[in-house]
Amino acid sequence: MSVLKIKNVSYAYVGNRENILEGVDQKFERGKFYAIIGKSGAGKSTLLSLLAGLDEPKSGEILFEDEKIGKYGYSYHRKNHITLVFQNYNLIDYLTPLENIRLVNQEATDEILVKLGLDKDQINRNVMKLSGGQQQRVAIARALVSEAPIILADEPTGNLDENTAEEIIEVLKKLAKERNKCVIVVTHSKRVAESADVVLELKGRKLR
Amino acid sequence: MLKNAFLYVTRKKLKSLVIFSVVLIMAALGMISLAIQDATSRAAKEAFSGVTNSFSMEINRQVNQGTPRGGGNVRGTDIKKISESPEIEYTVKRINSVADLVGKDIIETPETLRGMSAERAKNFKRTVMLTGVNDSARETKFVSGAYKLVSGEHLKNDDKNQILMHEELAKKNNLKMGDKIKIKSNLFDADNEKAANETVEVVIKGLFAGKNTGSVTAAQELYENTLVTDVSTAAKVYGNDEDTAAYQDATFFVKGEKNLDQVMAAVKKLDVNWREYNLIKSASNYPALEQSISGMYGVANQMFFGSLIFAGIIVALVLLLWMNARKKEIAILLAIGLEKGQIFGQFVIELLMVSLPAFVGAYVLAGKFAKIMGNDILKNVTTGVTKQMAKQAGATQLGGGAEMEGFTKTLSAIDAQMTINAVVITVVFMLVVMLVSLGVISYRNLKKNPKELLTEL
Repeated sequence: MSVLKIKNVSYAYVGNRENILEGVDQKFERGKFYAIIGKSGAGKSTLLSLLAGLDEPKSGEILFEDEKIGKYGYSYHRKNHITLVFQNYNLIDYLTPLENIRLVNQEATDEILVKLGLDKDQINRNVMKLSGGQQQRVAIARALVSEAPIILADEPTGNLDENTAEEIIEVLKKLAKERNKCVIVVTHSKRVAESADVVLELKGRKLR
Repeated sequence: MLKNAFLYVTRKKLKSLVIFSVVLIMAALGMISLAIQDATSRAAKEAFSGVTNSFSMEINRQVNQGTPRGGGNVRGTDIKKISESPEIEYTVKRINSVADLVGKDIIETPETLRGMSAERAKNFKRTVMLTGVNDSARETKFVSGAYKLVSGEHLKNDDKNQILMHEELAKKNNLKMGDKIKIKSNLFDADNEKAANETVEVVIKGLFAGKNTGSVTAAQELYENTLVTDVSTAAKVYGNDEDTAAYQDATFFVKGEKNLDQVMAAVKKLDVNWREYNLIKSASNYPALEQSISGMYGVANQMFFGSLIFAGIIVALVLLLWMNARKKEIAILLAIGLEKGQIFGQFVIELLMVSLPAFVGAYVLAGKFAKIMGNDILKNVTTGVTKQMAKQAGATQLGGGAEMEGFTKTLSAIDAQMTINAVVITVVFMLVVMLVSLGVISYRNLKKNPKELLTEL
C-alpha cells in the first residue's frame, strides 16, 4: 500500500499563468528510497513542498494513506506524517543541536547526534557555531528523531563534501530499510540517484 | 513554547536588553505621570476643600465704587436674605475696617518707613487693618494659606470682642494669648464716614503667622499689622453694628447635595439690587491654583500617553528589525508542524518575560523619582502661571496685601507616591500597546504559508 499518493497535481507560481507541474501522478511506498532528479527550475523543490504541505496545489490532490493531507490541517500533516531535511539545514539559530532536535521530539536524547558524529561539546554548542557538515547532521538528526513515516529531503548533500555526503546518503538509506520509512530526496547528485531504489525524473512538467 | 521563549530571551541578549530598557523607562515614566496625576488630585482636593461648593457676593465695581477707600459695601440685610435661603448651609461674612492700637506699636520695615510721609506718620502711626469675620477658619486668607493659625482657636460666630493677632505683632508688644488690648477708631480713615470715635477692648484668642509675598509700601499692607476680629468689633470702630455695617463680601456655602449653579440662579431671584453685586464661584477666586492644577494634569497626561506611544513605536521598530531573523524561524517552526498560534504564543511569552522584570524595575525607579520629578514639573508649571497671574494682579490693582494671595496661589508642592492603581494602569496599557505592536508586526509573516517565507529567505 502506498503511503503517499500524488493524483493529477498541477501547480503554477503566484502571478504565473503557466503551470510548472502539470497532471503529476505518483505513488510512494514505505521502505523505499526515492530520488527525484531534474534540471534546475524543473519544479523539484516545489513538488517536495507540496508533498510536505508547505504549499497547496492548484489542482489535483495529495493523499496520505488515502486521505487528503489537508484533511486535519496542513500543520497536522507536517507534524505527524512528514519530516523535512533542507539543503540549507534551516536550524533555529539560538538553540543548541540537542534543543533543535527536541523541537520535533521532546524525548530525544543526544545519542542520535553522537551516532551522527557530533561530540559532547558540539552538541551543547550554539548550532550556528558548527560547520556546514555538522549542521546538516543536526538537520538529519532532527528528521531521525521524528516518528513521521515520510522523510522529505531537499538537496541534503548539496553543501557537503564527498565523504560527508556519502555518510548522509547511507543514513537515509538505512532509515528507509531499517525503520521502514519512505524517503524522498530531491537531488542533482548522480551519486545520490545511484543509491536510490527508485529514480524519478521531473521533465516537461511531469514526473516520470 | 515556554522553554524556547526563555532560551530566546536569555540568548538574544541585545534584543532583550533593548526591549527591557525601553519598557523600563517608558513604564517608569507612565507610572510617574499617573502618580503625579494622583498627587495633583489630592493636592487640588486639599487646596479647594471648602471652596468648591460655595460662592461669594462682592460689589459690582462697574456700577458700585464701594466705600471711599474702595472697599466693599455689601449690605448686611442683603447678606441675611441670601443666608436665609433653604439651599444655603452656612455664611461667612467679612468686614474690612481700620483702627488704631491703643498704647501698642505696629510693625514697620525699612520700606514702609521710607514710603511714610510726615502726615501719614502722624495720622496712621498705630493703625492696623481689621478683618472682621464670623468664622475665621473659613476666611479667604486662612483658606488660601496666606495666614496660618499657630496657636489658640479660630473665631466663631458668637464671639464678641475677640481677635486673632499676628505672632510678630504680639511679640513686638510682649503680648500673648488671653491678653487684652484696646483698639480705637481712626478719625483720619476715609471709610470712617460716621467719624466714630469708639474704643473696644478685645481679647487675643489666637495667634497667626504669614508673610507677604509681594512688595509692600505701607505698613498696613503687612500681614503682621492685621487683626482678625469678630464681625461686631470690626463694625463698631466705624460706629456700626452687624446689621448696619458695610461688608467687604460674603461667602455662602451650599448644602452638600445641591447644585452650585442652580443655587446661584435661585439666589439671583431674591429681592436684592443685583446691579450692585456680583456672585462669583469661590473656586474662581483661585485662578492660578486652577491653572497650575490643569497644567499639571496636562503635563502628566502628555507624559503618560507619550510614554505609551513611544514604547509602542520602539517595541514595534525593534521587533521589525529582528523580524527577518524571525521570518526564518517562523518558516522552520511551521515546517516542522507548529501551529501559528503556538509561534505567536512564544513571541508573547518572550515579550512578557522581558517586560515583567522591566515593570518591577520601573516600579522601583518610579518610586525613587516620582516625588522629585513631580515637584520639578510643578515648579516649571507654576513659574509660568505665577508670572502671568502677577501681571494680571498688577492690572487689577490687587496690590501686595493678603487679597492677592488667593489670586496668585498655586500648588506649592505635591507628594507623588506610587500607587497600585498607577502600576496596574501602566502595566495594562503598556502590555496592550506592546501586544498590538507585536501582533501587527508578526501578522505580516504569520499570515504567509511556510513556502512563501522560505522562498523570501
